[in-house]
Amino acid sequence: MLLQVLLVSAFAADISRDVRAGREDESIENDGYLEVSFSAILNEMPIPGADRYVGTIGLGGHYRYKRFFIDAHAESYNQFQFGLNAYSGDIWSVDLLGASSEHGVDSELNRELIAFTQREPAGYLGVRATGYNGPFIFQFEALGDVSDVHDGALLTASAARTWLYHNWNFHALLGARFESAKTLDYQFGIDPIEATAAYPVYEAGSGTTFVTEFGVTYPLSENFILKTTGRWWELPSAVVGSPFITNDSYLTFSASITFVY
Amino acid sequence: MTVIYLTSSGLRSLLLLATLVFFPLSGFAQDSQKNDDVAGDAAAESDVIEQPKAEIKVSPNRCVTLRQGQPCFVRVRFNWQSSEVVKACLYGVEGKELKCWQASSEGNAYIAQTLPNTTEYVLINDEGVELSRASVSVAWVYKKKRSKRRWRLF
Repeated sequence: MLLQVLLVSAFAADISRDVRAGREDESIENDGYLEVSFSAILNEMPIPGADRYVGTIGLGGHYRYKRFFIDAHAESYNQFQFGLNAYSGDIWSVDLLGASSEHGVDSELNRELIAFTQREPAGYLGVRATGYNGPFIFQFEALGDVSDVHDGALLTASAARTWLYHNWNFHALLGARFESAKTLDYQFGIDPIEATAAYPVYEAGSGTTFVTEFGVTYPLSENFILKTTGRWWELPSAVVGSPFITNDSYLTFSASITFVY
Repeated sequence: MTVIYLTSSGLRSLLLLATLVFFPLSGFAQDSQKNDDVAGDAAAESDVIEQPKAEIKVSPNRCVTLRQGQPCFVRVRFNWQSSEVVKACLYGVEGKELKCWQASSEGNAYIAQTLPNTTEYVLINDEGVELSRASVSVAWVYKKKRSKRRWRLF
C-alpha cells in the first residue's frame, strides 16, 4: 500500500535531515542529492479505521545553488521547501524559507473521513535558524501562511543530539510546534456545512504538539542507507477534541532503505 | 665590459680543445653512469635474493561511513604469505603495530579498526624491510560537513 505523509511525520525537514546527513557545506556553490526510500511503518494512529501497517515509497532530494536551495524530504513536516541562506556562521545558519505543507490527517488513512481530511496544502513564508554545536543541533522556525488557505502561523523549536558508534549513527530529537487556531482549525475542525451526526461541528483552537524521536542510520554502501525511526507524539488538546481524533498521543516506528544519488 | 674577438683559426683551436676536453669527459660520464647502473643492478639482484617475496591481502578493502570525515569502523581480515619463513610485523593507522609473527611464512589476523581515512597496512620484517602492503579505503554517503568559511547576506 502506498501512503504518503501521515498525520504529521517528522518535525522539521532540515533538522530531520541534518541529524542523519550532517550540516551541509554551505561554501559549496552547487551541490545536492536525490533520494528514493522504501519504508515499512507501524502506526498506532489516533484515527478511526487507520491501518496499523503501511508501506511507503518516498521521493526526496536536496539541491543548492550558491545561497539558494530547494528541499524535498520524505520525512519532513514541510513536504517541499525552498529558500535563501541569509547567514552562515560557525554555529548558526539562518534561512529565509518558503514551504508548501499539507498538514493534518492524511485522507488515505480513512476514506470515510475524506470530507474532513482532504485539505489544500498551504504555502508558507518565514525564517529558520539552525545552530550546530558538536553533536547538538538546535532549530527554530517561524512560518506564516501566505496562500490564503487558512492564514495561520507555525512556530517550531527543536533540539537534537547525535551519537556515532561503529558506523551506526544514533540520534534523539525533542521538538515542540505551536500552531495557531486558524491552522489547527483548518486541519481538524469541522464546518457546519461538513458536519454529520457522527462528526458534529468542531472548532479547534491553537495548540502545541510535542514530539520525541529516536533514530538510527547505517550506511550499507556509498548509495544505500538503512534508517529506523521511532516517534512519540503528544497532540494538543485543541486537536484531541476533534471528532475524528481518538487519542491525545500516538506512536510510529519505521524502517526504510534509502537510495542516495 | 670585456669583449673577446675570435679569429677563424682561433675558433678552430677552440673547437678542437672543446672536442678533446668534453668528449672524453662525457664518455667517462656515460661509463660512470653505466658502472653505477651495473652496480645498482647487482645490488638490486642481491636484494631480490635476500628479500623474500610476500603478499598481503585485506578484506574488506573498503569501509563506508554515513558522512565524509567520520571515522570508519571496520573489522579487517589480514592474510599474508611469504616465500620464506620471516619474522614480521603488521603496521596500520599512524604506524601502529597491530600484530607480529616470530617465524612464519604465512599469517592471518582479524582486527577491529577505526579508520580516520584511507589507510595503508604494511608488513615489515625484523630488519625493517617492507615486505608487502595493502590498503583499506574509506568512502561515504553524504559529503563533508561545512568548512569554516563564513558569510552573511545582510
